[in-house]
Amino acid sequence: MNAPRRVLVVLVAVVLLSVLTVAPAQLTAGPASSRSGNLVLATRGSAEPANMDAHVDPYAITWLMDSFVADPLVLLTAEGEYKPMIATGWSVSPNGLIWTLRLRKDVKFQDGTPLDAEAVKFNIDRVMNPETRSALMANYLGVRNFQKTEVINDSTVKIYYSAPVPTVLWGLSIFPIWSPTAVKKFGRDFHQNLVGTGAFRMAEWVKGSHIRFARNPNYQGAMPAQEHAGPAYLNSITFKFVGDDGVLGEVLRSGEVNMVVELPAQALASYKNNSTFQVTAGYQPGAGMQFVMNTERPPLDDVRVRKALRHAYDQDRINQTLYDNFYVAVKGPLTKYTRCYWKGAEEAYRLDLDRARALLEEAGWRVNARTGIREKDGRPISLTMVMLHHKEIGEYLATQFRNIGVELKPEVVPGPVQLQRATGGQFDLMYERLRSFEPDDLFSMWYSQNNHPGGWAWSRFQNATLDQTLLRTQQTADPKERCRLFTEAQRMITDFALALPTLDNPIYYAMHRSVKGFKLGAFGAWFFVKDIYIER
Amino acid sequence: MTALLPVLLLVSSAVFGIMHVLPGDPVQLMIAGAEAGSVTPERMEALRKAMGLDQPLHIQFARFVLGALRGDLGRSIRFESPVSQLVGEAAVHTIKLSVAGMFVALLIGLPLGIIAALNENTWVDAACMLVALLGVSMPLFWLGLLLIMGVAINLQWLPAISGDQAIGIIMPAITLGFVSAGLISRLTRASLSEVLHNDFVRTARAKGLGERVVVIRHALQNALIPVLTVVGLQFGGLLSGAVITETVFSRPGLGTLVVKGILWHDYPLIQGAVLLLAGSYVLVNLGVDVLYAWLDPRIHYA
Repeated sequence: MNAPRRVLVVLVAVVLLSVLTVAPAQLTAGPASSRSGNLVLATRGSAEPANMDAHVDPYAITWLMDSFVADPLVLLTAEGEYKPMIATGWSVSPNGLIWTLRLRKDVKFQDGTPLDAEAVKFNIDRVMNPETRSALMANYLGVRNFQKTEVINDSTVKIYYSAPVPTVLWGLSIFPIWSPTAVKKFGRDFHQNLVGTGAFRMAEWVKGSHIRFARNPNYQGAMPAQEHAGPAYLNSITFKFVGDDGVLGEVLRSGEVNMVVELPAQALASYKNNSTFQVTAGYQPGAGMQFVMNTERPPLDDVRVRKALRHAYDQDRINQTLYDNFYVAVKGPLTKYTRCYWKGAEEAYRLDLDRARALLEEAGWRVNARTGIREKDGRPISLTMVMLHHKEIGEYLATQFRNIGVELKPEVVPGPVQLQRATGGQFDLMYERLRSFEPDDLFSMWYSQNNHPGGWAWSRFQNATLDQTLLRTQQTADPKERCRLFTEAQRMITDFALALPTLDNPIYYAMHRSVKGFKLGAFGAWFFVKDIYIER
Repeated sequence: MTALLPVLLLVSSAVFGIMHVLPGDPVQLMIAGAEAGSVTPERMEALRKAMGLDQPLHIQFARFVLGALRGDLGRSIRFESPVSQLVGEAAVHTIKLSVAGMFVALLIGLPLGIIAALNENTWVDAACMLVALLGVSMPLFWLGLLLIMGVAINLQWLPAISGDQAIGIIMPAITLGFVSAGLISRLTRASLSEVLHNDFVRTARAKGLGERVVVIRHALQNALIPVLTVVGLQFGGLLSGAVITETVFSRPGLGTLVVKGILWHDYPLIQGAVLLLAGSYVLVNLGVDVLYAWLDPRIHYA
């Protein structure tokens, strides 16, 4: 073969190879009934779960996707009430130590095996087993006080604790019940082969690309939060993961997806003013975007310095300047969408630069006329602010703090680095956010004994009264008393100025107007899918 | 081919060493944000033991090498899945993209370089080299975003989310290929231009051969040898450039997987992925060596 032909052969080989290695396009089946369709959602690439099993993974998107595949024992309605679902009812012993769950008798898993008391016991025992490496779920279900699960009969199961666990119902509302047969069959690969009782089956997971759920035609369940019983309207739900925020903000316009979850704030205005699309805000419970202060090292070991920072900025102005008021100002340890929210935090610290300067003077920090930065014993006041995203908030705060002579250095790091820095105490201010609907996140974040690897008490603050109050929230089951204690804890956390609360970024759902039946849950990251359909 | 094993061993040792020198404990990362309130030092030790991280480094490395020889790359710490499965799935997507990118690079780069060389020092040459300069200097992410906004969002001709669809590979391949095309075209031009001034080309013309035959059969054959070297190296570059392209176009692949692995100190995952990347690099260069001999019969390997 001569040289030019060889060159040609090489080129043709490259062409053929590139054509052959490209897989054929995936075909989707068309819907038959009048209310049907394929829902395609786009969301941030970083939101893709590493593990699809909510028994293990601690993120809300995993809980949500698992809710398509497995109905929970208890349903948390959009109004924040706990309603029977697979559990027809429940009761707690007067001392709060024994939970009795009564189950429906007609429920089968997608593999045909029955959901009975043994299956529930299997699931609870599994999540409590350290080998499962359960994240938050084990906590919500009370792993620290867990003693045993007992099957009373086919439809009754009891959970025994050594101390009351106030978060059981919350935990059960996001706790998927998996088929024990499937869990045993797939072993450690179960999270890629979920089998539950829900209205959808896990059909496909192409990592780094998308996860697809297909309708379970045999589903006969009814959900109190949904309008119709039986199978879901949608034929399929596909979550696509988008690597770039700019693309995520625009992709709905291209018609490739019906809905965007977590639409970036920058793209909001254009969708809100366009009748082709509808936008819904899902407000988030929990701590909001707050920065906890490292109270173990100077200068933030001094409450006067911490209070000075609280007086040096205004959340409403940040919201207006940076986000056209699309976000929500958060002024205390919890957002107002969390149970037992304390309104008093809103008035605790007002923007007052004179007060902030006076506090710093009182703490011994004097302005260096040359640099404009305050110093004490020859050392300038310079704070490191570790954050995961929203750097503009850090930059805005840096400008504000400059007004009182404090230097702030915002530093954006990846999640794992944040965790290392938090564990090692290598920060002055650290982004820390939990977002459960119940206020028990306060216990996780502020109870001083939770300062250990894997714990959340990153501020390293120790106060016996606060600890005692928080501990009591975990020992009482009475909702009113719990709220009183949580309110007291919020007041103390605010008084000690342990964190800089900033804003809550609601989860914005932008969808094409053809998407019907969308209904948000009790917290922003949750929605119900059974009534959704695509109008043709 | 005999170089493959030593190279892989060397690369594995280097990656293993670097990962263990970097600060950060995978056990802490695994339980951070998880098991809050229930973690004890004993529990952490048990996890460390379960993952084999309590063993001395040389034992850990030996276990990895022995496992790899058996085809077992272990399980990912972060993703709870077999590394061979994760890396295998991702590699398919990255190789598809790299091959398609190389096709685009050759499709644009070679003709551009040939046209420029044949019209040396004319406006055609300048125009071709301007395009090449654009390719060399244009950031991947910028070109990618530009294509997405123009072709996918505004014109709606192609999907913005590439995913694993066949049609979705077009824009990422153009993005990736255009950058390499710049280099290939510049090199083709320089190489072909030099060859065209050689005596044997003058002789071929003096013999009365047509210009097309002179250029394609005589000149290009010699000019392509250095280009081929760069194409081989560029293929390796495409594998790494795929990280950015995969992110911008939301494509699954090895690049994004490795980045996640590094962030989470997922030793087994990183080692498995690097082994595959290094192996691919060696094999591509081996292929280039074979092609040398095929294109130029004067080249022989003992």
